[in-house]
Amino acid sequence: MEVFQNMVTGFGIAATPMNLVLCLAGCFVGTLIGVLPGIGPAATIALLLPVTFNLPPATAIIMLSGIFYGAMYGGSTTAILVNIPGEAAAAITCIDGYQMARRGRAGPALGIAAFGSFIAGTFGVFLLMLIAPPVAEAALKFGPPEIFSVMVLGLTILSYLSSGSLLKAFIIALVGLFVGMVGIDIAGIYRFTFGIPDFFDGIGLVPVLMGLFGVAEVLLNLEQIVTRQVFESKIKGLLPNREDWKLSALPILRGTFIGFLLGVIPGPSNTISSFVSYAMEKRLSKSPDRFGKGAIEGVAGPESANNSACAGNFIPVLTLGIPTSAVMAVIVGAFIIHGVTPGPLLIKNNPDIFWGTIASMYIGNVMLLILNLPLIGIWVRVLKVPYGILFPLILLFCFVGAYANNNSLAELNVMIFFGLVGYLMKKTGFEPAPLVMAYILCPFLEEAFRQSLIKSHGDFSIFVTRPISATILALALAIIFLNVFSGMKEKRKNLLQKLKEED
Amino acid sequence: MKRDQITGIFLFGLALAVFLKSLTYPLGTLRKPGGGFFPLIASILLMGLAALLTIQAFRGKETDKASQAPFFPEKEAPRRILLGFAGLLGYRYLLPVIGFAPSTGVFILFLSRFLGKYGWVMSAVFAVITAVASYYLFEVWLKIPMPRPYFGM
Amino acid sequence: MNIRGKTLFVILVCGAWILLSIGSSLAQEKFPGRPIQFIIPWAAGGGGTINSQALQPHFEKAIGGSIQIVNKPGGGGTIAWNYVANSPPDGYTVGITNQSFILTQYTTRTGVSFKKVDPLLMVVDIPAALAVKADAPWKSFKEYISYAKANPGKVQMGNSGMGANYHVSALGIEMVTGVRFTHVPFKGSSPNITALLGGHVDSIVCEISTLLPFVEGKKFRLLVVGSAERNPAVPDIPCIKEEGYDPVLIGAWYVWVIPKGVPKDRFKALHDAFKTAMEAKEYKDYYRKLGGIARYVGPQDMPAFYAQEDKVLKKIIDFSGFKPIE
Repeated sequence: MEVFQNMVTGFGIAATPMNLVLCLAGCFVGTLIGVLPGIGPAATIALLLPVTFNLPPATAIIMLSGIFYGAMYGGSTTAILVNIPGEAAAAITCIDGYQMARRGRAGPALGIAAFGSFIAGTFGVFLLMLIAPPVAEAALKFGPPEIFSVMVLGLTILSYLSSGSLLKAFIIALVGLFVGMVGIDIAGIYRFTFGIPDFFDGIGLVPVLMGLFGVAEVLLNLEQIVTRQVFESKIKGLLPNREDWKLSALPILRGTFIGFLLGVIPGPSNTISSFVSYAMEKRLSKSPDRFGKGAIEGVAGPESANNSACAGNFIPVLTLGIPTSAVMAVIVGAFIIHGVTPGPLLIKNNPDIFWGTIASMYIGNVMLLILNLPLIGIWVRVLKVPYGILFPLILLFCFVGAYANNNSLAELNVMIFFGLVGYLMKKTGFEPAPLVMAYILCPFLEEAFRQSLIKSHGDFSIFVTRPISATILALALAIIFLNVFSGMKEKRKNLLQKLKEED
Repeated sequence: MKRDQITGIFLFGLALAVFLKSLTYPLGTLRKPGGGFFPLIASILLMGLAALLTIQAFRGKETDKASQAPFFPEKEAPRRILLGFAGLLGYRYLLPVIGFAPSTGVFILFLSRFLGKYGWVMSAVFAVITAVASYYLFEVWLKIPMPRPYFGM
Repeated sequence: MNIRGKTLFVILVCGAWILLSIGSSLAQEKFPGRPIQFIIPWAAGGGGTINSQALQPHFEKAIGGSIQIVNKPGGGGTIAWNYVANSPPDGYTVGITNQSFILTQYTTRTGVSFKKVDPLLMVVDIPAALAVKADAPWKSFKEYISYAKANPGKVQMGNSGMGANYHVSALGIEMVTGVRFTHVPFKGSSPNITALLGGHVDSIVCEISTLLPFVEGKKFRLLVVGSAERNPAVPDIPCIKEEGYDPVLIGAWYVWVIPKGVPKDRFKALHDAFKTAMEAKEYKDYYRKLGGIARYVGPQDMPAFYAQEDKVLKKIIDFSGFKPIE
């Protein structure tokens, strides 16, 4: 019950007029930059940090966290509207979300994304409040062998990410691996960089996403005379209807848990959790062939997952002072600049900041829901703008986003190149999702593999003698088994059917 | 069918190139993999799968709808795509020469006129409004450092 | 108007714009007439950004203008350093360097020689320390080294990247003490710290500012500080000189540089503004809490300083036989 006592204190701090206003400001700015592709929360938080110098630490953290959350909400908006993921975690939302928009269902898509994010986010904060320290300790146990196993698990679901030819999904995933292998490896060798320093740290995620999803989509649409309507003009409702809710309820629930648990693990956890959620929903659905054509579960699940992952992300930061991603690193920096050291002593030395931040997360989620719902009406109207005016603006945003990411002109070249690649892929039957997944996982997979072997001096048993790693690998194996099994069952059924018909 | 054959062969070539390049990196052993290890394995896998794809294509196996649809849905399409790329590359290379706002103006002008099929006047108006608005939004308000032109502005 | 007329119009407009901008830059009398760009070679939120932000308020006041923090990460920092070295020498571009600046000359093919830029001044020196878990069996540096000597290859030393600062520090320890570690590489300081927290490696080298919270939280124990004297933030931890070895633990110093050829008056303006900022009480206090020392080394002494660092670092690199491969 001590927890609830602390929460009351926390709300007391979070609900002061100044903190409320700045929380709102943060959420608003966050949504804005989430919508503007490429200008990510990390850069924005760093940019606005000086503005917070004269504010008390709790207020500063509350505002900056609002930006982080808002960006997550905003990122899905562009994914649904124009097929451009605001950040990697929203990439999977493009698949069904954008299709829904094309069919005139942008409103329900945005709505379910907002509601799902809200429910998952709130629940995530709730869990954070209750079980942060033990979860953090458990997360520490994830060393290189465990990370490797998690990545393997991620790869096993690859087959679910595509609705087309499985062979092509694996092929394009391997291409994704190649893209991920460019850059410095853990031994300090620069691979496949051809002497271009911009590639030393790998090919940037943002330009790849902008090109593969945004630019490619525009090019594909441009083929036909632009007076044609890209988006169906009859808007079918602004909010999710009863049917939508029925379909989305369980995905939201499952997404929340997946996101929260994965969010604690270091690495690209937000993105992985949204991919895993998508795969899970597709697997559990009674009509999986709707996925890829505008299935609302394909939006509800992943969006919930990536929002509760945000709450999960905060756990290592607040309890141990360790950031698990670039954005979190900036937030840790923000703490430090304000003279507060996040980490094991935070809850003891600055309980007001700890609980105030958590309370403000609840408030932030509510604010974002209230902010985003009315915006749906506006966004939907944006889609009605003639495509001839819309597409140059979309391309402009892609350019700004890709450039602002690292202030690099070379990344614009990357974006244009991947625009070409995405365009060709669509023409030849390859889907972007497996590529993105493999590209994101590859560095972690390889790094963890080699780190583990360095530690164990070449002994492979390290992957199975450590309990957590062994469990995860077993799970991955089980999934592969299930796949093969059901695939075989499917083939047998078809064969029997054919035999019957021949009689 | 023909498209899958080309794709398969291209992918095989790509995998081969990666394979050869990864041989130039220290391979290490299975127990202590070096930088070239993973690319090697991945490229071998891709060569295998690409070969499979090509063979299936030659055998005439039914594939997905996308590769069977005509490559360009309309007669105008190739020209439009080329124009699109020209626009993108042009914008990219103009940026460091004349700076963000002017390049944006030219870019929007080009796109609206040649791809959006708007007249010169409409396109110019659109271009100027967008260039000025984006200058204020991105450089002044959001303070994002945009490429500076050669002559300093 | 016909097509030709319109094209001409567009060209005229662009031309006018270009002329205006040339004119305005030529007409600029007062320095700074536009924001000065601080080029940071690492992603937002790290030490470089923090240093810039700590200096910002007093710097802007002293120089009478504003600054723009630009992160240009990549290439181990070489992208930013190349950019700064090749920027027009008008005083509007400054860059921040640390030991990696010297190291990347040897670990990459795109490294910039320190002779290609003009150093302004050093603003801070944050020493590194060797850390182990608080419950580790070694209570002193001596114990640790004798264990490592008796068990070559058994002690696992995490680092933040092969060829980066802390890996080279660890190599430095090997060089002067004769021990052999198993180096486990991670991408960046955060995973490095996490690895030690989780017990996945036995020890790490890292800058004191990052380690301090964990020392205070009783998670880590520092065995030695890698400088020539004890650090005020951790006065009971011996420094490596006391232990009888040369200071080889590479921490983090930050030196601000500008491209060669900046006019003398602007050079002086920038230098003085930085110096004022680093002498501000808030700046000094801030770093003192983190174990950093607001140490000033002026432009006259910098070349010698760089050369000295270069000598030490090169010695360790040669010892390790590390070569850039592409």
